[in-house]
Amino acid sequence: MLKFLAYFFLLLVTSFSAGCTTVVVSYVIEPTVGNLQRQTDLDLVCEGAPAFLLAVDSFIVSEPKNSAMLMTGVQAYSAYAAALAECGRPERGAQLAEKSKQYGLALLSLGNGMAPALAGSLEDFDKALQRFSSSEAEKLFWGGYGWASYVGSHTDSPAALADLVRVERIMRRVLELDETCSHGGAHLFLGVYYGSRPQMLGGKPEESRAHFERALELSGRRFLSAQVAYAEYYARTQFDRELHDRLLQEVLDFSLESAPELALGNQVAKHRARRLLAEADTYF
Amino acid sequence: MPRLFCLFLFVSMLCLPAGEAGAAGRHLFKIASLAPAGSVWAQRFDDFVREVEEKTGGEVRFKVYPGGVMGNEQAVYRKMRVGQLQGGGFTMTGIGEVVPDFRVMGIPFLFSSYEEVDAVKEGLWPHFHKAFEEQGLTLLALSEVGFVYAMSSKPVSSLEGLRASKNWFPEGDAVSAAYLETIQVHGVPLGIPDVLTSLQTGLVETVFNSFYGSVVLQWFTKARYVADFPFGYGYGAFLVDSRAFAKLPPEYQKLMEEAARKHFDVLLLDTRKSNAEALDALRQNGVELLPVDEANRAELQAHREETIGRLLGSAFSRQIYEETARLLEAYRQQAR
Repeated sequence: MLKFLAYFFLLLVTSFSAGCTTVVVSYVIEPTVGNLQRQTDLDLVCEGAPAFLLAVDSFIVSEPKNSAMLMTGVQAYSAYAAALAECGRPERGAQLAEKSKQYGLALLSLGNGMAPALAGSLEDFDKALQRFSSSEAEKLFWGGYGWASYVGSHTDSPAALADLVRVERIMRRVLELDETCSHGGAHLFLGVYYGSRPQMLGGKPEESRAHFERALELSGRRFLSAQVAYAEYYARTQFDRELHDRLLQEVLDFSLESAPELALGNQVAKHRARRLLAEADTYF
Repeated sequence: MPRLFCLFLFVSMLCLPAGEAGAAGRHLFKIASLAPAGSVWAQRFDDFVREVEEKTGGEVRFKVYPGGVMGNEQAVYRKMRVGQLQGGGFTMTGIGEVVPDFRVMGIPFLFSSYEEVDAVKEGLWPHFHKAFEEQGLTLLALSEVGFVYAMSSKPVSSLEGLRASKNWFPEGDAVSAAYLETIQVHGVPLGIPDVLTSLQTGLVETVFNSFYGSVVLQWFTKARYVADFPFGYGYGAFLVDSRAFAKLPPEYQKLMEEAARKHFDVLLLDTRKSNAEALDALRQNGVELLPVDEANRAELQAHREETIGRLLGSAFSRQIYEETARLLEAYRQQAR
């Protein structure tokens, strides 16, 4: 299944919701994450991000329950893990994804009785999810996202696979609360999730397509990971070459300047789109 | 390898050997499997592909279609017949319709340890190889799902419990169907994709899978009680079209056979490790293992013989069964 998450990883940070509490977050870290997202030089990000991540860590150590800071932590680590995979160091990316999970779970544990439910029964987990309100959709999304990053890079671990059930429930709850959150990221997750599993193992191509279409709509087609994931997890498995090539060409034709705040994620997406197109004759 | 009752492994990265593959290479093998891209199966298969491609200097090439994109096992087999595909990973259930004798290791309660499985499998290899060859298929390796357990949405750990429960059996699995009939258990035939929904709606209450399969297919979210007594053994085969294989120079044939056995041996260990780790994951998610007492074990095993009587000559041949029984007994004697 899920090479999927490799993709999902690309869902980089984006608009950061308001309500950030500390000066440090608002004036230092947030803009830095923003700048990281504007980078288009992948190698530079791969080499240069560690110092920034260490700074994020130290802020979280001093304020372990600061949700804005934890969200930044999830975003920074998952983005970096994704970049490392594209820079040819997926193993290192997998190690760093442990941190995104750690911060993601910490984020989820901030309230609603979720802390004990994380490893409890699915019934208790569902009950805790129901207690999240619309204003917490973003927090819930990034909590699940950090967890998903980890699962995606640890797909050989049965324990991680078992966690997917919970991540899926988180994303479905996010859709109930606010489907527009983070460019429709929950739709993108579910598109990949249902598209990447073989049908006989629970994959649902039609649902996958619907989620991808909605993700494209909500992102205004500016968040290129959505097109790339759609091509890879839906068009390929359905052997729809026309759709596959059309989506990827759209990615290559997109001007990075027209969405500067998404430049890093979009650059990674272009990278991948080029590779998928080059392989297309072999695949189809 | 995909396999039996259920299955297995999944997940993660495929990355088809990139663009340069394709047309190049004098001998191209297109291989399909149900195993998802990124699963342990797909990873080991990539290792196999890499070794063969390297050692033949690119003369032999592969194109891999994981995740069931080429359809179910019957579809893959048909595509092999018409030359659209040259190979595939199959489960014992899927390919049992073509080579019935291959089903023999799937008799319920036949094996009690992996050591027994390995000894018997080794002894049966030449028989399986020959049987597949007669159908135009070359057996390159065996794979496994592992031991399969009865898993239920309500606590079931006895024959009585099974009889009172609504039991699933895999569509097309003659061996399991005959056993359930013998123990007078009502069975509901369903394809794998329908099992989870049926567990959720209560159409079935007891299903059969390996620990890893239960995690991957998410059956554990409903089937929370596992009877701690292996019900059967699930396995599969990596087969290629004999005509395509025969076109290879003998040294390449040998190389491919050796590489397949080497990497599928590693896969076997990976699969067993995954099953062991999956059991831990199941426990962490609240799944409970229920002990099965001696009396029930004895009774369940006793019905096996009766089942075999019904299956001989139809589901598989008497010869293959007798050879299996002989190998198993020989192993048990020397292990004593």
